[in-house]
Amino acid sequence: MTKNCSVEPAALYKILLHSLKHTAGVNGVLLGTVSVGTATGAGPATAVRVVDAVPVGHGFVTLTPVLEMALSQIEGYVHEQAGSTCPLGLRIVGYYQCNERLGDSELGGGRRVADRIEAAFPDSVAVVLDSTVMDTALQAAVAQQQQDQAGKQQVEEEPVLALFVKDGMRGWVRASASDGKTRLHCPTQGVAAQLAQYAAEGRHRALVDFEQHLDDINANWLNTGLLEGPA
Amino acid sequence: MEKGLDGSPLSLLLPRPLLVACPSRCVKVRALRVRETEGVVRYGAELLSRHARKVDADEMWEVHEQVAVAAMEAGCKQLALRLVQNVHKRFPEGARASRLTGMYFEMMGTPGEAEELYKKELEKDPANAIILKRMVGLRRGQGDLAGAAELLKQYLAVHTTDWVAWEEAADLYLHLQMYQQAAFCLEELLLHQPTDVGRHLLLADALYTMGGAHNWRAARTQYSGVIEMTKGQNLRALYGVCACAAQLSGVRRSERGGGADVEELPRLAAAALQQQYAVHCPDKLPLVRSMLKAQGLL
Repeated sequence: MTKNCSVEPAALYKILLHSLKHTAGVNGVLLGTVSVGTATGAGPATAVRVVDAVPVGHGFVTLTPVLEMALSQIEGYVHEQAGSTCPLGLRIVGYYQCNERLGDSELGGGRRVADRIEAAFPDSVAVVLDSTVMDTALQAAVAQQQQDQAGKQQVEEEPVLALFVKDGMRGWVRASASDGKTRLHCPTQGVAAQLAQYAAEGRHRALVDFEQHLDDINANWLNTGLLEGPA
Repeated sequence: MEKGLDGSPLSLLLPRPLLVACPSRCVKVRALRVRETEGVVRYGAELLSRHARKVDADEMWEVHEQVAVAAMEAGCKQLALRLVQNVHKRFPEGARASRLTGMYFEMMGTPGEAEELYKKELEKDPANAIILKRMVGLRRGQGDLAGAAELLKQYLAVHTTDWVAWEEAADLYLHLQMYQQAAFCLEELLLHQPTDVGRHLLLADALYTMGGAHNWRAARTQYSGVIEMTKGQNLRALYGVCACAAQLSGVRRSERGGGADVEELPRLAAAALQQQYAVHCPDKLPLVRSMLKAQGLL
């Protein structure tokens, strides 16, 4: 069974902005679509398209109450959308996490959370920020900017997310380029520069996660319009 | 480029400071122990490079240390180096300056050099609390949370009233999913400061996460304590009571604990939640109602 996972820019930048906002670890829920087709010669293939990310918590990914409340309401939101005049056909498709420590791109304590999401929403995936890759990309972007090469050919970057899929008894397994059964497609051109631009506009400060909403009821955890238009 | 905002990656992310740096802000951030890395780096760097005259002599080195630590958290290597060098020049023999230099080594990825520095300080003074705690930080920075927790446990056996250390212990145990131990630390902290709402909520969350009728009842007690303390205004506590009720509804009546008023509590909390959303955030009210319905409270 092959699994292809693609991540849209909007989802990616929300994840990255969320991680920028808090020095502690952060996590959230992924929204998108899942379709099952057939890959040539390789049997059934599942395509998971991650369209949006809903930031949930910062601090302790290992505590369940906030995530439970958020999941319940995100589900409600998805149903609400399904019944609207232009449904996007979105469902919960996974979990994301960004760890506190540079160099830590493991699911760690988030495994339990990912398990719960996958049990309720089959075929869900988990993605973890690879902060080492992100750091390298940011440094390269700074170097490029200092040499006044902005606008010239953009350096091809590594994907800043690591994909994990649930593999039966083995649990959550990190997808690697060599195994051929799981593939991640994620924006890689100019991600660091775009992130720096968003951050310069203060969009990471404007981003709201569900936990923040619990402290300030007016804060909108759906982050409508966060990435659109001028800051 | 601004002095202090040099070629480090964060400089891309920080626009030039628009306001005159505010010395009191640094003090406030320190006093509240808020983690406001970006603000401290931005304003602190500006303060030190351009407005050093405005800073009191006794405050000067505190600010240096604070901005240096924030710069290290943010990965601003050159700023951190400059500040650490200044501190070291001023205090060539001090343990605190040594700690700062060690932290710089940790950030630069040479924890071995840091550990040597700390060990040297401990030879001079084996009971130096600052260095003992920094050893915990060193382990944590290397990803050895269990090792860090063990060191901290030994430290706390001696320094039983170091509340910052108790807080750090709770933090470590929560990350390690050692909830019982985390709960113990939080309870110690609450004995010392019984009205700290944040800690009550953290304890409640940990108990809830542990699960089981006994823990859900204990979590419910914590959440309802916060509701009383905050006169029903705290959203997390209201949500928490509803969540506990939903979990306990699946449990035998005899194990649910509490009398008629406890039975009434989730309904009251659900009503209070809906009331708050209706007034302040009506577009999310349907989502809250669907959650309450799923919990059997509507």
